[in-house]
Amino acid sequence: MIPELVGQILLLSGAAIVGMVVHRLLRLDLTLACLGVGVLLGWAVPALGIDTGIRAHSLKDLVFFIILPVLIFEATWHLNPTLLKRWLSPILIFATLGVLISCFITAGLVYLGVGHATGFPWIAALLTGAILAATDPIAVVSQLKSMNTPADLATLFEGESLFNDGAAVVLFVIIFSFATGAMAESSNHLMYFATVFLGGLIFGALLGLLAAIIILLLGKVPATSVVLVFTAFGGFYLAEEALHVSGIMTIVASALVSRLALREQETTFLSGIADTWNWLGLLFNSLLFVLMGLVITWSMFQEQWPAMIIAIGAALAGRALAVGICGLLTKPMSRPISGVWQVLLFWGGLRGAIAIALVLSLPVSLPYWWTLQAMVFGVVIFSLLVQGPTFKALTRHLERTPFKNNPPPASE
Amino acid sequence: MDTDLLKTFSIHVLEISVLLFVFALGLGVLVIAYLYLADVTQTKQAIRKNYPVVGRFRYFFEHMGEFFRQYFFAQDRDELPFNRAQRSWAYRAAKNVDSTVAFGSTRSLNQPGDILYLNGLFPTLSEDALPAEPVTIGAGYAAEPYTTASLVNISGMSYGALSTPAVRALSAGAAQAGIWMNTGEGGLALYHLEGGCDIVFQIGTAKYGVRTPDGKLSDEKLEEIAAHTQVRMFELKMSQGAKPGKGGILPGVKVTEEIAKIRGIPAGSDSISPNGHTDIRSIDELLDKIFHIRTVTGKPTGFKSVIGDSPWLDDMCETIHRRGLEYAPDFISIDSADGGSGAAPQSLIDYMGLPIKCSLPLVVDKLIEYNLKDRIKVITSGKLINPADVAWALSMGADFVTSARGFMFALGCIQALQCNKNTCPTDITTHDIVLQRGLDPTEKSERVANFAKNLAYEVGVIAHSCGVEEPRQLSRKHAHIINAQGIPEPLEQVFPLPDIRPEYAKIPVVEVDIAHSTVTQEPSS
Repeated sequence: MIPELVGQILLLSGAAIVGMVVHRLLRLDLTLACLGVGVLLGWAVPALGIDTGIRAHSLKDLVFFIILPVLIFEATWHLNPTLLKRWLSPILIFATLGVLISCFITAGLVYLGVGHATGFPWIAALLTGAILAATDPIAVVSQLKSMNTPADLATLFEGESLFNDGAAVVLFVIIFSFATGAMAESSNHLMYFATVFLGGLIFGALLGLLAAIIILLLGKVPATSVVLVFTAFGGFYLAEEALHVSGIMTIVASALVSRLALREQETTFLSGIADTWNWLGLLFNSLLFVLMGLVITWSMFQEQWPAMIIAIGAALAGRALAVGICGLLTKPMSRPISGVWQVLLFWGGLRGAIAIALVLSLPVSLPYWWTLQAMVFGVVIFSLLVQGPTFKALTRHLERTPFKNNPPPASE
Repeated sequence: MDTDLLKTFSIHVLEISVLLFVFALGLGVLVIAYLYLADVTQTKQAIRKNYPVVGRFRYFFEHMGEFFRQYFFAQDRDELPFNRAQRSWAYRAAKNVDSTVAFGSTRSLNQPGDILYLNGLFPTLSEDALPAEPVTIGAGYAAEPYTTASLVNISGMSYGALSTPAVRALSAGAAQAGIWMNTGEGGLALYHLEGGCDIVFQIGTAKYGVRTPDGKLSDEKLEEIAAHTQVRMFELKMSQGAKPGKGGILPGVKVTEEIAKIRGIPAGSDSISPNGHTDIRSIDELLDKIFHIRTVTGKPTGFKSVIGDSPWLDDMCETIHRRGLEYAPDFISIDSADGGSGAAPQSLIDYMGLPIKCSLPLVVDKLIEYNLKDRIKVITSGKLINPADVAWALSMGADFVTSARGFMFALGCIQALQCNKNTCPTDITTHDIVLQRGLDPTEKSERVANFAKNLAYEVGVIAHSCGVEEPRQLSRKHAHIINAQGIPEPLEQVFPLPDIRPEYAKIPVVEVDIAHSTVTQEPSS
């Protein structure tokens, strides 16, 4: 049993490393490279007769309990607290109202576009909307950083996507429980939502505090990494399995609280932690795309290409409306989002890891599973192939007018 | 049945409370454990390392102390720059509420330097009291001399240092009370004119509002400014109380688009005036410039300075006599070293220049000595926000008093000392739109007018107690000053009035001939 498991882990990790090599040699985007390696692996594996151990039913747990905690914790940990505070109110508007708008607009358009109420009911459209509401900043932020744009914009991207990931996952979980009928007997939806959401936050905060205490008590650089990684995995596990609250919110809260509580140890016990999260983030992000590559099949494109195109259009429209409306709402605030930044937020809103993780976690038993997966994959691939590579050019193009429009904060 | 329900309900409540209590207790223990560990592991603050957890209270209380002191611990006469008794008077005067106090003075009445007025046995009866005597500035020398009966006027604070609503309130209030308002060195804004008050236009070292693109004085702009009938006088600012020897400073945060436009500088960058006038480097140049401005504008022109080094006063008076009285400034504004609402380096605000306690008598005496007191009016400023301070200035020989901070109190200033930060909690010196909502120009203009009227009224009350008919009749013989032993002695004895120098005893009747005495005329020496 154990050697098999080790073999499977090594196979996937090896694929991720190959992906990194491809990324380095071909100057492809890392996500694309891993996706490609995954697709190749998907063809090669049956031919070679190897069992990867990846089953549709085990994907959800793999993604949820192993990959998501690390990605979310890492993203939260890397947020710049001062910049986050500065942009918190626009970010929260984007992450709440923005996610809802994006979810419902996308869902509505997909539903109308597919136009098959029995094969693809409302609930399926809503699931698609929730999954596609989560954006992935990784590719965009690394581009921004290489382009000398203000750190504020990168923080806006990171913060926005982190919080909308959280919101989208909670939304997804709720819609999902409707879809599977788990919610039918529970009459008080609002209460349920509050418990899941706030419960996760409170539990995460407690956990973060506890982690900080243990780290201070141990007082060693390597021990810090051990404790924090354990917090990421353990927190998610406990929240989902034992307490039945939102694991994502737990992770976000625990990362924020422990980061805040340990801010004075930045140069001492925390000195090596950035590296730990960097390599974990790199590995798990690559793994996720390899996994995606593994489950993509040619027949998916052949059979589902109209649905994919509908989904791409719907996702773009949803995102555009969400950004536009939320941008309008930030106008009277002390830090409005300028028009140029709104365009960048719209086009830079790539769908990535979280969307894949969520769609991979869907059980195969759902009748519309196949269509849904194809749609989300289509959007993710579109954003990776089209939006990602053109984002840099768009920023360059807008750069002549843009960053003076959003004045640097007056407080300096 | 009902009791059962009640029972289960109360048990539920009890259970939840217990759970909450345990949770809170556990959380408390966790937080303390965290604080303890954080304190012992950090290396920045020794107190926290040696006294974990409890050591934090020191930093907390130090921070809170600032706020608590003024409400709970500071005595009436404790605070600086203005103590609570002084401020309360200003607030009450502004709100036009009863300003009487009871059960004796909280002032110690034996501090060296304090002034006590000498009441007459026969105070002036109310029916004999007269309004303050009008004074004319620039009579016979300026084309449009300025006559006003005002005692206390609004000192120079630029639009920029002050917010838009503050300037509007001051302008309207000044018009209501019949006093003038000095623009400060930031140029003339529409808001200054809006209320309809008399304006004294100040020319700072950067000459904002009247400068050519290369920073020189522009005659055209001067004429433009002078064309407003509301602008009654021009004041050349040589130095100001807060920072003698340094030019005006307007921090970049406060330089909004509008202010930048009026001043002709880029928005958002610090507006720093040169520390002196580049074109006025001697007494002769100063007098030339004053004469020039008066000739161009036709309005009385004087200069403002803090007195420090003083031999130049003799020099100036002699030069005036040599060159003719038309070269004399029509007024001198003496700013106290402790004046200053603006942003200034601490060493200058704390240590530079003489306070008016000594500089006012110095200048007045010099002017009397040279027989120029009638020609040159004396305006003085420096923490003169209460009636007794104003009465002192008048009895020492000042013709007018101006105040900046007195009127800021009238606008609602709480002495938060943040004028230079754009975070003024009472909107007076901030351009932050959010904070500006609080200052209603209409409401506050009433207060400005009340403050000016009540201040003048109570100066009158002092004058009447001293047995004179109106404030400007107060003189040095109406007060005593407390000496180093705590004994009052006559003010006349400490600051004796000088004799007029015999050679200047007779002032020639001057006939102004502008064509003859041109600016280019050089003195013979």
